[in-house]
Amino acid sequence: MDYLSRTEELILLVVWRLQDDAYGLTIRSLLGELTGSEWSIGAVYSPLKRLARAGFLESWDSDPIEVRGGRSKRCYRLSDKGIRALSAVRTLTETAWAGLTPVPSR
Amino acid sequence: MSIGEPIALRVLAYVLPKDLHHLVGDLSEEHDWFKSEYGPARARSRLLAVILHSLPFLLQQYVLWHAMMWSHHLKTGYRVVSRNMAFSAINVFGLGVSMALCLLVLLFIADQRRYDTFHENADRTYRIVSEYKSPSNVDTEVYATSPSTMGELLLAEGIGMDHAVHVRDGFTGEFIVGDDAVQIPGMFAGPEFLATFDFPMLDGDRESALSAPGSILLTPESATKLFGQGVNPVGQVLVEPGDRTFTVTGIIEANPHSHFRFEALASLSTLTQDPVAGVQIADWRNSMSRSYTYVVLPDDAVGRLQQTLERLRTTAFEDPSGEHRYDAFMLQPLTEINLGDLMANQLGAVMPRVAAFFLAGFGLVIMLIAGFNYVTLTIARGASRFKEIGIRRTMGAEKSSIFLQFIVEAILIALLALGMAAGILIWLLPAFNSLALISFSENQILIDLGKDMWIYGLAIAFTLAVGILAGAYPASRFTRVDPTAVLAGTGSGGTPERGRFRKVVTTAQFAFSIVFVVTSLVMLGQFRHMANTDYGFNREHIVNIALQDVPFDRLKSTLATNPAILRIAGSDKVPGLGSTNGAWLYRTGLADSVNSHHFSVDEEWLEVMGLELLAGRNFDPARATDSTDAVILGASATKSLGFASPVEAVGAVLTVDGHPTSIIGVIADFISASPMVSGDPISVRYRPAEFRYAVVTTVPGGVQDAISGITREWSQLPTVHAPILQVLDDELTDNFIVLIFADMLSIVGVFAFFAVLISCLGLFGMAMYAARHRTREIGIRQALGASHEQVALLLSRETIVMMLIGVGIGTPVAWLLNNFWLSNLSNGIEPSVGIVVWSVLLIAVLAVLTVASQTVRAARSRVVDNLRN
Repeated sequence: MDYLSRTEELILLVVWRLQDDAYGLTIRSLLGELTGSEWSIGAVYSPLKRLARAGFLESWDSDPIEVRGGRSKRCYRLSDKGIRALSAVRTLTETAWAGLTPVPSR
Repeated sequence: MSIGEPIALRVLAYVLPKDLHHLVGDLSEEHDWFKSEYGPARARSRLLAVILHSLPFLLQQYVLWHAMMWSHHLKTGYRVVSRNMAFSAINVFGLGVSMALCLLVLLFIADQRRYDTFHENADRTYRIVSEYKSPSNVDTEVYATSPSTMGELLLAEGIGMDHAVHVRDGFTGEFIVGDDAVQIPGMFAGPEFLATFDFPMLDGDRESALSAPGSILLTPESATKLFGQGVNPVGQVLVEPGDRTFTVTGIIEANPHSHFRFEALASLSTLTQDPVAGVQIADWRNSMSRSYTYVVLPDDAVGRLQQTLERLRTTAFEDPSGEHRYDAFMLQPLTEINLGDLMANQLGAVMPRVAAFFLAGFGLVIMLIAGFNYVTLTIARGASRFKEIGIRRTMGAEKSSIFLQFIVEAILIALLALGMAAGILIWLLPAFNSLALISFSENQILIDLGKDMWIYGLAIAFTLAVGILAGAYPASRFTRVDPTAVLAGTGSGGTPERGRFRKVVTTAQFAFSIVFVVTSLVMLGQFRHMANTDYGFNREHIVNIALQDVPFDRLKSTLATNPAILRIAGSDKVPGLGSTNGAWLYRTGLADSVNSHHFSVDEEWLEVMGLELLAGRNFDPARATDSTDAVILGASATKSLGFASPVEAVGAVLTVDGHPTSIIGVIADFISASPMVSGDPISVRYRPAEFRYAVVTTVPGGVQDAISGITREWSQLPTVHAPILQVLDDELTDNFIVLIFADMLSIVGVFAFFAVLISCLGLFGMAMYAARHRTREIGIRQALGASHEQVALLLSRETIVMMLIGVGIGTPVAWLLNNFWLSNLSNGIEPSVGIVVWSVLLIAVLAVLTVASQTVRAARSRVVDNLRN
């Protein structure tokens, strides 16, 4: 079982959350909303490509779309492997947290 | 791509790999959304911010993509080059040789173009040149010189010139050092010269060094020649043989990249303040031959200067008698003096532009021959690459990628060829520099591999250009290949073998080869003819002694007792060595004067030179009129003057250079100017005052005795000069005209040799591919009973047809071309049919051998092997 980095975990979560509407732009803006800071292109597109190549994500190109200057979208959805990896991370995190109280904020 | 998309996005779309175009789409969508929400200004700044924020990533993607693509192209290119050794070797050799020749020509031209560019004001300095008719000429000619008073007159006009420089050629620079005379020739120039031209001064005051009469500037080399090492030359006094003295006022460095060639510069005031020379130089009518005017002026003054020149032409330089006539004064930019128009009275060493054009033309032809080899061979070989191209296109390779692939291959071959060319150049450059044509005028290619970095740029740029040009045609052809047709097997996407292009190219190569070969053989014939030409006068047992400042009679009486010497004559010119003196002959009733080659001699000369008297008599010193108004003419001169026979001419009265003169005798023609021309009109007069040589005949085999005797006796004469003795036979053997011609012969010969060789290599390559591609056809024909000969003929037939057409086109061209230049030589050979036949045979034999080497192998191969392949 290979573990994901925190960035990868976040990106997979965002792709899942976006469901049918997951492509570069929406992923990057949702990441920005969640973390409260701007994500650079490289910080999003490089892991996306890596995750797709590693089989956590499935990607396909849409038909060219007029508003995008006639360019297609590269859409993503979670593969089975991606879903398993996400739940494994969640299980691991929950197991590790079990019985502990959250650190009080000072 | 939508109109109105920000430029930044369009740039991104252009530079990023196709794989990232969805990213550009995302950015575009975001930008549109921002624009509708917050307006275009915010949208734009937001977009730029995002791009800037992500610049490292974008750059990385760009670099990675291109590095990958190029490494792929290079890898494929390397495989193509290394797996087809024969193909690569043929092309590398052909391109290497022709690139070496072209680079040599390019280096020569680039180096010559540098002349006089080092002066700070080079771009606004001009020389005034004249379209001028001299009293002894019938028509105008363009002269590099201008009237001696031109500069002063122009300055007085106040048209805003910065400088006007008067340079006067003809400073002999002969000085007495100890018991010897040393020569450091140069020019006269005023102080403006130093202000205008940036020759560095190592010592002395730039402002005043050329002001006072009798001032002289030396180059470091000439200072060493005069004073040796370790002496400070500045302030030293130099004495000319005529007792005129010069004071060294400084040291100046000459520059080989200038048309000014000097070992010393003397102040112009030496001339202008001299009682005799000063009067002469003040009159422009007497001083057109050696005065040069250079002006420096702001750009806006050029028009004014031209108007002023035009006005001066019709006022100050108007000669009412019509003897001198100026048709125009022109401004020649300083940097265009070298590699410029041909002109009379050039100063220093100037390479005419036509020479560069000729060399460039030869280079271009040989480059085309090699380049076309590459193109035809690549296309022929490309048949086997159709499948590769088809697959790559289907897998999504762009057309541009296929195109680039072929260009990269061509550039790789060209780079290998450059390596070979560099090797050839190391050998070629000194050979070229030592050509008499180049070394005599000191126009050698002077490049410093350590300093002149531009030559590396030139070589690389040239190589890339060769690669791109050679690769472009095959590349565009293969880009057009239809992948589906290739893969479906319904066609090869075009039939490269049958290309009309290749046939035209091969035919043209044959045509060029025949022209080159015929021309070099004709030149060789002409060279042999000139080397063995009968000059029409004695050349054996004759020594020419330069009189220098020794009176002829004194020398004659000194040598009278020398037992090795038979006779002594006086003359002003050695015939046949390239330069002549002129005299105008005019006979009443004739439309034009005849320009004759003139010799001033004494009564012994005809005998010494062994010239046959056809009619009349020799000069007789006892007759007073023989030294004033008698002339002996050559047979051609009498013919040009309209006399029916030599006998008829004797006794007739002419004007020679305007002076009434009677013809006392007629001699047989001899080669008076150079072995290229014969039958020129010759005139001979008895004028001892003009003598510059004593011509002596020795007893047979006594030349060396005579020379040692003369050298011994010379030392008793009242002169500081060393004796200058020339054996006529040696002088004619090493005739400069013949040497120059030999140089041109070797240039054309080298180009001819390589043109033929490279063409044959191309043929060889094509024959190789043809034999390889048609193995199955050959096998079937063999199986059906075709003989070896029939197969060989089948494979050679096309080449033979192309050769016949090429020779058919090239032969008349070669014939006309060679007839044209030979017709300009009166001592030229008749271009013989034999030469043409031999050339055609040579080319035919070479071509057939080349092709046969492959076809015979194909024909001899085993039927079974051929069918199985």
